[in-house]
Amino acid sequence: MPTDLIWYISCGLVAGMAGGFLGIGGGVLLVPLLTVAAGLSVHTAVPVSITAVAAHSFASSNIYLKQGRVDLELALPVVLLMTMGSVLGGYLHPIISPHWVELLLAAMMIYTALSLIFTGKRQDDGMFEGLKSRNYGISAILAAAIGFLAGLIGVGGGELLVPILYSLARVPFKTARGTALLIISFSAAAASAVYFLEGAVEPRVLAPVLIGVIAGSQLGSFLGMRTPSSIARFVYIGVMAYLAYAMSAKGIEGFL
Amino acid sequence: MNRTDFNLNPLVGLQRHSLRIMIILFAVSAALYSLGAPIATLVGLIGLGSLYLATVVKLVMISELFRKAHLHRLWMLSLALLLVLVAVVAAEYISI
Repeated sequence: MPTDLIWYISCGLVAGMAGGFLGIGGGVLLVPLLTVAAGLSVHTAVPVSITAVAAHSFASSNIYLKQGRVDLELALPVVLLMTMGSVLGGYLHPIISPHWVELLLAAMMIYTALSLIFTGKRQDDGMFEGLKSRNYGISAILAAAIGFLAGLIGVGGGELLVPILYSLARVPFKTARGTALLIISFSAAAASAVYFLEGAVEPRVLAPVLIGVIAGSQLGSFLGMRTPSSIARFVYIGVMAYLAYAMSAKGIEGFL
Repeated sequence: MNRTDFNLNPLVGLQRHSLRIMIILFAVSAALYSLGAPIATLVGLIGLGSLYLATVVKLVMISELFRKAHLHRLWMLSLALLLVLVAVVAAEYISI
């Protein structure tokens, strides 16, 4: 088996596992892995990554769906507004400095990580215990804002969804992860189709990456369903802190 | 939303079967690439097409589940989502 094929499968496996466990797209991990470890250019890595995210969230969301850990009522308005926000962000991309957006997203990540810390322990293993107290409207509007900001700098924004669904929509943490994966499966598939039409998706890289991602996401979701919510939340906070650091460093670097 | 009259089994089944098809297609494509066969690209593209098709069918199925459960607001919302997603892709296709 050629060495590059093994690298692509390994990169997909790592990103898929992390994505399935945390309920995020995994693109934030896959792009650096493909560019640094596998030596691909960003122009090749990003379309492959977004397509892999679509496949991974498709695979992972099924495990959560089977267990009744997806809130479809919440997912639909969120994905609708998030997609519209993302399209608007994409159109305004040329006139707004991406470095400000990166700093803003980093600040939002810090805020969401802190909100996860201070929200404290909740009845996280419950499923759909009454919907009246949930801020569905605010969550959907905030998701639109995230979609807009993400569209401005060309990322998925999925990593911010889980804290919003958990803290604002007040769904249990595992349900927040399952719902976020379903949302990402739609938005990433649309983004991937756009790249595909531009001819930017490289099937030679995509096939092995997807095999790794799908296998990894099944394993990650399996572990995610069996890990206590408190531990998963702790890991999530760590990943958010790292992403906030990486994004703010990128934003500051752009100004220097 | 009353979840007792909302059967998610068809959706889970659709995702499971389409996932199996995708895995087989991408595994065959990766194996053919490692052997240097030119047909590998075609198999990979069919796999990619199956992902897009499965996503659209999944959304249509969700909207049907809402319709059958008489959740008309969510049914309309899911159709609106389908329209927005298709419009985003179509707008890109037209601009190319």
